[in-house]
Amino acid sequence: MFALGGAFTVFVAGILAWLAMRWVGDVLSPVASTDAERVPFTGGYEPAVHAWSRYHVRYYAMALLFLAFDMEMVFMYPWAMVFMREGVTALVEMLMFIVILVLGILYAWREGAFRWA
Amino acid sequence: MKGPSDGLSVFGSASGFVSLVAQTRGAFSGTFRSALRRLAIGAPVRVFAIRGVDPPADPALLHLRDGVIVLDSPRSATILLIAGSVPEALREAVKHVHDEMAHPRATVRWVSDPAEERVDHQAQYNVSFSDLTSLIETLRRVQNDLVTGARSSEDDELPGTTRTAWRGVGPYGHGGAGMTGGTPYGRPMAERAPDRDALQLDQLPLRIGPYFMAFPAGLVLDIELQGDVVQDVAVSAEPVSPLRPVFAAAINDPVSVAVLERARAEDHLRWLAHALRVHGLAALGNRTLKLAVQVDADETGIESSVAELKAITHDVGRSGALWWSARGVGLLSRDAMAGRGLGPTARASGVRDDARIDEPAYQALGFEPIVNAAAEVAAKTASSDTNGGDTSARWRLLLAEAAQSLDLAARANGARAWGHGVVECPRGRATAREAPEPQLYAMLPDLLRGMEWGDAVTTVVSLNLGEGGDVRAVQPWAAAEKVRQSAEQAMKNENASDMSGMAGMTHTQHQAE
Repeated sequence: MFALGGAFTVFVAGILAWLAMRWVGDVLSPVASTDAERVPFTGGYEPAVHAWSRYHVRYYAMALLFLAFDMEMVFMYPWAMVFMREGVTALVEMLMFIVILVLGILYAWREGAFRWA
Repeated sequence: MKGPSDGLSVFGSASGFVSLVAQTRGAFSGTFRSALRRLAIGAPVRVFAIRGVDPPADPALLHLRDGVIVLDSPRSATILLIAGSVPEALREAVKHVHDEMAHPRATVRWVSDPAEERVDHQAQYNVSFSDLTSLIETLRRVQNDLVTGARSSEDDELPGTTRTAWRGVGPYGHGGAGMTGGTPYGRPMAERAPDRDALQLDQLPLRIGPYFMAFPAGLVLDIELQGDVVQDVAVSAEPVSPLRPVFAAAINDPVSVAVLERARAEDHLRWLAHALRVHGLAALGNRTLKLAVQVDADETGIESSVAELKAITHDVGRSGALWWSARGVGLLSRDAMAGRGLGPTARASGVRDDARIDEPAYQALGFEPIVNAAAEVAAKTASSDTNGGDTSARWRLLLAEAAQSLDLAARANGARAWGHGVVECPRGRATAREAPEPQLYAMLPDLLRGMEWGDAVTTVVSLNLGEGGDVRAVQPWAAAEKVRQSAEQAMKNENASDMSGMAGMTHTQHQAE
């Protein structure tokens, strides 16, 4: 019962806060009323087309790279668990794995895969 | 005894309760508004300044004053300050800028001659002071009048024109005839074109200018953007920047080298101050602008200016972000700049091109032009990567030349030079008929194509194009015309298919409104 009352108070306070903020917003800055006030400013002319456009997501190469190394970190958790037991063998094996990945990055870099524009 | 209805009699009825709430709300809102009004009267004046032809004083100097904020966009400005007379070709654009300001708004015309023809019918404030203090007082008075309601906000300059409504169909104006290739918010979407990976992606046509804060007033660029990559550029309006009076005089009559070199240092510093502001280093830009003003004023000693210039050079050199954004951007090759009289822009690309070399007065002072040595060396070793000057080279050269000019001015001792039809002005070699900027405008499309938009702005700012202001003609915007035609065609097709009863669920009834 007590919890329900608390929840109800929070609900009412939330509604009141929402109304108050809406009112303050309306008083402070009325919504732009004309078309000219709504368009983005580019220096004195109106845009010819809408700015919704499909563009090349150029960071996709970086995103894929992040995923690859993210997964590599996942492999490192079990490795870290057995690292003390296995010793130098584990270290060398992991180094080989990372070196292969790094070589891949260097190759992609040289081929211009990370070129932005 | 109380009846059931007596419980409500406190408020009369349910509708009475609603009206009481509305009254309380109104009273609160009134108090709130008057409190805000008192605050607004003390606030700095928010101004969007438009530079026209022959302003009474430089509107850029408002950046150095308290009590006034010069904005980059008219959106949050209260006052549109029109400094100088607006050329015929740009009047329509000024009206658009005016209409894009939010209410309450007012226009103040600041002209040398108040009698000349006005741009619009509404600007009631015409002032012609050449001192900024009186101007700022007027601006403050106008803003206070707007805030207190003594003066009503100005109406649109272009009401009822056939502009595309920034509103689609549906209760919130968010809908339109489809999202892919349709007209969201009543505006058609961009056409597709192949990008560098041979994908078909939208190419956004944009017309930047004539009053984009980073560019000289009047420069209009029609660009095609894919993402933030500039695919195509056309210069649709080339502003003419006025030559400083002292340089204009030097074309026909000998003038004092000291005065001329002070003016050159001032021009270089103003240019750098603008660049710093565009790059977000407003405080450093204001310091540079203050120094430019000090250099121009005759009564101050040159020694203090030299010391301040050294300090600014040091601080600008330490700004990692600035150099990072300028390095390798906007490379102008040595060959392209050779022999064209493009002044500091050419010298930054390693060209030893300066009309001062041949002047006896400068020879007597032991003048040797500063040339970007790295570019010269690179040209000799035919290393194509650095064969020329980038934006960072241009700014380095600018600072070095400002110091050199101050040094020449200090040693000139009343020497006089020029007066034979040509002068090395801050932007390059000028005669009575020719100025260096048109050559730079011609280079812009090839230079900017393929750049990211941010780099393109950096590059345009780094070329010395002057303040602008005067424009003879603005070319029509081809992309907008094409969009308009295809939208009309689409509308026609839709109407035709409607009539044949093929498409029952279109929104033609909304578009007909």
